[in-house]
Amino acid sequence: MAESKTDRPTYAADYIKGDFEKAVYLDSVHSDNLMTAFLGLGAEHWALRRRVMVLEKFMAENKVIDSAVVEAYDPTPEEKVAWEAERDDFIERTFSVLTRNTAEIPSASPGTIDGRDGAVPADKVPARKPM
Amino acid sequence: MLSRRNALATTSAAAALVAAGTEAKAATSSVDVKIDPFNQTPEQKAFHAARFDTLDQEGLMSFAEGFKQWNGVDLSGRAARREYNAFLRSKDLPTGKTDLSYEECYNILREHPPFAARIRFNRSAQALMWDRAMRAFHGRAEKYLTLMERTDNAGPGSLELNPDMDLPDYTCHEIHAQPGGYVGDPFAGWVYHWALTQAFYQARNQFDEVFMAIAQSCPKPADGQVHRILDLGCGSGLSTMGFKERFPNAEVWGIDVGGPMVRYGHYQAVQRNLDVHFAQRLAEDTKFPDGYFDIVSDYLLFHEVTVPAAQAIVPEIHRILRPGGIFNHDDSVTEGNPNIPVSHSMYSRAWLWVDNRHNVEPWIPAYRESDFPGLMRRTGFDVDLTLRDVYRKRAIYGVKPA
Repeated sequence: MAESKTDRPTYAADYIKGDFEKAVYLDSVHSDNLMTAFLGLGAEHWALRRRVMVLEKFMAENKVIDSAVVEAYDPTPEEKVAWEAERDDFIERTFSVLTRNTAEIPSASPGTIDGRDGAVPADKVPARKPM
Repeated sequence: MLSRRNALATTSAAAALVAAGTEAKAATSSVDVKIDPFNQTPEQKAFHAARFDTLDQEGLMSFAEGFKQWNGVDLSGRAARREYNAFLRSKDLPTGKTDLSYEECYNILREHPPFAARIRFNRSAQALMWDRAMRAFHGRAEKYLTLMERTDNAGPGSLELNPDMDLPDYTCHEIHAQPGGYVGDPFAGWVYHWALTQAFYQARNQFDEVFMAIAQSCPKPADGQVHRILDLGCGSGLSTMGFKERFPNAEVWGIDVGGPMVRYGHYQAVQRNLDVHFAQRLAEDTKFPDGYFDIVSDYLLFHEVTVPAAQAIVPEIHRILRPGGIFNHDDSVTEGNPNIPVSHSMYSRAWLWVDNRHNVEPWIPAYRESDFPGLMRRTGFDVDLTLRDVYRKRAIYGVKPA
């Protein structure tokens, strides 16, 4: 059973890690990675648009919108640090997939599932811990 | 300043609103509360809603949900299928039934660029869904661990965790490519509920609609008496709670092999003030006495277990049902049900391969090729295969003869 950073019980158990992340569908792993990053960008864009829609709704309702002030705003030093950390997290979650370099997912080996298709890995790895 | 609904997703006031509708009927022995899952009142929606901590986390999952819907519907609709079939005909390959293996079908269709792109989109959207949800919960691990610790020993209801239990290897895979699977991640229940049941159902399960429908559509024993219900392989407990909402006077249990899954189910049940019992146990060894339950229900359990396990689980269900009790089964299609025939087309078999091999559904080919209604009959159930107007219209049920 895994323990967290504070040795708290998590009730997570050892598990069998899949190899699905090796799968390649397009002409090269890099094309696949670009597609995944492209989706990640779409997700970030949509999340941002949703937030802007919420902001604009409340700003308009409260008559506090002033585009000149928005354009002129200079973040505080503390904000700059926080925003840069958020930017770096955005870049990591969106583009880290581009570093994936993998071989093709292995073909099936007969006999794994009652002689049918579909071999899967069988080795267990330790339970996941809180990141 | 508006505060976001917290992870509890509900309030005691909302719970009271839902409970109020049942109090008048509570004097009778077997109360049956009808709720329209797909047409819930605002109070019912508030009761079932789950929201992420932040607007951005919600926005990321909203994208995954919308993208999966687009990829699943628009890219595999009739026009796309016609295109795939044209490709197959150009290769002198059949568009209907084929005897080629799943992998052979996959390898053929993968040569068609639109099909390959669709798989890439499908897998990338799944990965995006899991990754962003994992970041949301692991990023605030201390908070979510604390929330669960506060309810581990709280009521109503109860939680039984068995961390030293021997987990059969077949249960330990990263099903649906969920990191850690059902057993290996501390927040598996959270992630399953807040990512999969939201994005997978493509906006049809934002208020537990699908899981409520499973409970609401479950047949009752002929005598109408429902005092004890078991939700077998209950996962994060959504259908378990649905059964409690439908049958508030019944003793409702949910068991699952995943400790983090039932832990989350119990956490949510406490927030909803629902008296439900969750236990980490094996479906093939439930520990319940003979004839204990009036209803045993499973939703999407059997395609996640091996055929030998299924051959052990169905007799266990028969053992713990009372005479006249109902075994409600809702899963993907298998052989042995002429009302819902299994497709053996090149396209279907190629996608089964993707699901099996790349979406970590290790046992779905063997399940699909099995005669599940036959297994139920051989175990002693009277099986009803009548198509019913329930979610996905594929649920069947068996009755343990009186």
